Amino acid sequence: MAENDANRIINQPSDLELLPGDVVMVDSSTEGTRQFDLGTALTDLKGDIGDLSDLETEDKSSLVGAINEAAQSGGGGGTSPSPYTSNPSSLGTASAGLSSKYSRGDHVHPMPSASDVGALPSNTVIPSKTSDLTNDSGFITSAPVTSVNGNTGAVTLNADDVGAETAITEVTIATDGAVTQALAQNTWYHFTGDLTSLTVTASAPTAGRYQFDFISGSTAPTLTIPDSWTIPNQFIIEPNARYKIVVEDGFMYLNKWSDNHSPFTYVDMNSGAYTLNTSGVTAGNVYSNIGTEIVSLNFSAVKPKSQISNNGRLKVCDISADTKALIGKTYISGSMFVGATGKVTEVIFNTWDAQPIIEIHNSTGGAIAANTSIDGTIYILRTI
Amino acid sequence: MLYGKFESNTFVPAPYYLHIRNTYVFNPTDEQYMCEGYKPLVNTAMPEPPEGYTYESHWEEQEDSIIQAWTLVEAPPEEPTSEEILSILLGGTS
Repeated sequence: MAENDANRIINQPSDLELLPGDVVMVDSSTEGTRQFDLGTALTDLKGDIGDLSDLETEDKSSLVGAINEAAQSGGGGGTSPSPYTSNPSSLGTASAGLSSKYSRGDHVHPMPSASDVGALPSNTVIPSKTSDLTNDSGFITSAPVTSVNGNTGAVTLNADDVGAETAITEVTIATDGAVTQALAQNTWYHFTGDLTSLTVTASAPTAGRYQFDFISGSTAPTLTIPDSWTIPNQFIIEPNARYKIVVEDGFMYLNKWSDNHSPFTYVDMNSGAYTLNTSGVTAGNVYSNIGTEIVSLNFSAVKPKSQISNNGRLKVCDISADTKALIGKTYISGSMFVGATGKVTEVIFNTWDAQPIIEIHNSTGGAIAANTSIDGTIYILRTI
Repeated sequence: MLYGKFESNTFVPAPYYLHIRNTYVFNPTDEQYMCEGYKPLVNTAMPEPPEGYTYESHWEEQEDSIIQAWTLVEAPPEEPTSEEILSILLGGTS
């Protein structure tokens, strides 16, 4: 730089070469016109900057170069750091690290393995259905019961399925005159009116159980039933009587008794339920109105007491399923029952020593000998 | 009322129940009996027979009924009494 002329004043220098000793006038809109001695200013500035040769950077050519070098090395003094040129370390336990080199901004760590992060290997089979699993806990894999009494799926059990007694619903119909009624199963119809005719129908005549009773007044009503019912022999509807009819799977059973009396019910001695229904029985007149059949009873065929082999109860045995209701029952004198035609092979009636001998009579008053067949007619048990 | 009908010239009394259109009908009505071809039976009193004769009963079909009719026949010989039989066996006179 050349020495300038003393006291030279330069206004608004542009590309004019300045020399030490020049006085520079600076016109600033904010600070007004100022002037300073260029030589003094440079000296001050140099003092502020310092001696470039004192820089510890490799680049000492300019302050800017030194600053840039310092910035790239992270600042500080000493030896300038160099970038880390190896691959970054794998992920692992957190650590401050020992390297003096800096990492580049686009460095990439290796992809961690499954074990590095505690994950399952990529080839691990993930179960997608229950059959992929091992049933080591014994969970149910199939329905333990696939059907109940022939019913499958969402099974709804009825009384028959579990062998339970089906509840009987009683219905009383007091209509007089001609009555027609469609019978429902497991329903006991009481026709208490003064009937001239009674017509009953059944949706499934040969299956299930139907039952009804009716009163035969001074004139016996006309009774119309399905012809698919097997009717007992000598089934005659007489006036002034009450009839109870039970149809089991198409077989018709009949009880007849006086209009003024309830029937005698059997007593099941086996079960110990010694129940006797005597409702409606006129005191002192138990047997007199059972029916005309007992008027001409023949007592000549009484089974000798010595021949009674099984004391304890009246027993009906060796009978078919159609008359199984008779099995094990104890019948008291005056009881009536109907044998199914051709179904009963043998009747044995025994009684106990201290009681009168009981015999079975048919509807015409004839006594039935023990160990003989009975048919579908009405029978009456009588005390001798 | 009792009913009957003739089948092949043979009298058949009405049963106590009828089989009508898939049903059994007990104590059928008069109309039901007649619809099944039965006619009411009309009983008549036996006339007084002459000496040595008697009447035998039979049924005769009319248009609306079956009437009890009587045929005059010779009366069968009377059976001897026990005493008469005993007297004959003992050689006495009857």
